Amino acid sequence: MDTDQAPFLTTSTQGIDMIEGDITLPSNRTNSNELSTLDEPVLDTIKRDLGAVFRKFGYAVIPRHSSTLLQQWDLWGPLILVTTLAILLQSNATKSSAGAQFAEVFTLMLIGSIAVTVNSQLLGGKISFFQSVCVLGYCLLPLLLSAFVNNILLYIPTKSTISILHIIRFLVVMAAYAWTMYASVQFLGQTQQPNRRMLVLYPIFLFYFLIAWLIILHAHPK
Amino acid sequence: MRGNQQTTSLESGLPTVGSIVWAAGRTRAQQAFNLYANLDYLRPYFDVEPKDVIQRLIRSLVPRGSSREENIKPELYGPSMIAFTLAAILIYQMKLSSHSVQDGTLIGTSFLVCFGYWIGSSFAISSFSYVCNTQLSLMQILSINGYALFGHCLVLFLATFIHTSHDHFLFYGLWLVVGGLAAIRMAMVITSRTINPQYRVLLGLLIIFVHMAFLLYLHFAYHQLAENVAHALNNEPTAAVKLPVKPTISIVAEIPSVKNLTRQIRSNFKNSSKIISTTTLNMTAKA
Repeated sequence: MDTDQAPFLTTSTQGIDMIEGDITLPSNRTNSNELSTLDEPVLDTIKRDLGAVFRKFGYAVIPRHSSTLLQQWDLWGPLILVTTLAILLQSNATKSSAGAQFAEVFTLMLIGSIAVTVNSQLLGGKISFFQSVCVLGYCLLPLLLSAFVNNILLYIPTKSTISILHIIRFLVVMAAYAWTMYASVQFLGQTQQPNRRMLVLYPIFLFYFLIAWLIILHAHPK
Repeated sequence: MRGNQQTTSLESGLPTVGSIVWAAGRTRAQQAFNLYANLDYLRPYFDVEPKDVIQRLIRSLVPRGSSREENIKPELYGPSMIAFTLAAILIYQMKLSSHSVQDGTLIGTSFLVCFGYWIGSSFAISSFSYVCNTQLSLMQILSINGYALFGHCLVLFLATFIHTSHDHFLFYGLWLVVGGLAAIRMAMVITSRTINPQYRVLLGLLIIFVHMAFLLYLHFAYHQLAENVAHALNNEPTAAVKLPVKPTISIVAEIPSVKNLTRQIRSNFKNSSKIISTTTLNMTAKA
């Protein structure tokens, strides 16, 4: 026991100063950020997260230059919007195909996001899958509003096949589509070199175009 | 480190065999994943300018072979976007005809059909061309085949949005002209790299057959029903309309008219099959 405690090399000098102190740092805000949000009251968390979601909706509706959507992405907005859109696009379906119909919009969203992410990464951009789900989902808000208007307009009875009503519906959905494209171009178009922007924007254009046509084609079961 | 798993045995403090195997397996799997599933391998194939893409799209319909010295730079951006567009057109047509798929979703089917055809037929053509000693790599064939699908997109798009009374003739005309041009272009490019003349003829015929047959399949599986629904329920043979079939989906739900609809679809199908048999006979007579 004594030999263990003897130093390996004996030196006569005492030149090395002993450094003493505590390893634990006093807790400041940045270090204990994750821990502190666990302890806060639930209402604070809900208020903060809801505020973030509504702020992002605001960015999607009135697009302006900001990197909030990309850097602080969250998936609440896309979940709410895609679920609502899937409910609005339900049409006359049998029991077995109702589930598949509901899942269509989700599948479309998933495949669209994968396509946009892979395309953007391969063309040199730096965007991750969840960021693109976030942006594509939040920018769906104008199309969702047009789907609401579409469903309301469908309740007005019309006799001829091509009437002014159908033209109004078409124009409303196309206007919402243009608005959506403008919003997502503001967020996703910035991540690319300028002469290759069209290459990145084409899958987004196709994705929203398909959703816009699904909305236009939707008719009420009578 | 005290984790949840027993990484160190209690007696000697050395790591357990199980944990060594797990760590080694994980690093091997990660290395394999980084090696093979790396997106960076596809990056050079996406290095393209928009005007190049447009130029290639237009050139895919011009039947001109390529000389043996010309190096075709394979790119995958154009073909994958064309495959996505074709899948979107198929989804639109399936929605128009309320095509219900029992297993799997509508969207999954159309993506599977488009991408499966593109990749599968490219593999098939590249194996045949390997046998026939053609100097083209798989990536080049993938790119040429993908651009040839642009003709399919055009035909289906035009046939979906233009509804006249002579829809059958419109479709078959477009099938012959546009599909034929794209098929001939692809066949000429691939056969110009083959030396043996008999193999050339064989390979050319195979490519043209596969290309045209796929467009016919897309027409009968997805487009035909939408066309018939539009005709049967609109009762307006010469209405060139912007939104042709919106009201028809609601009317299909009414039960009494469904019998008339099925009768009409069956009669249309019989007429079209007669037309097909005569056209195929004519084609084989000319070839």
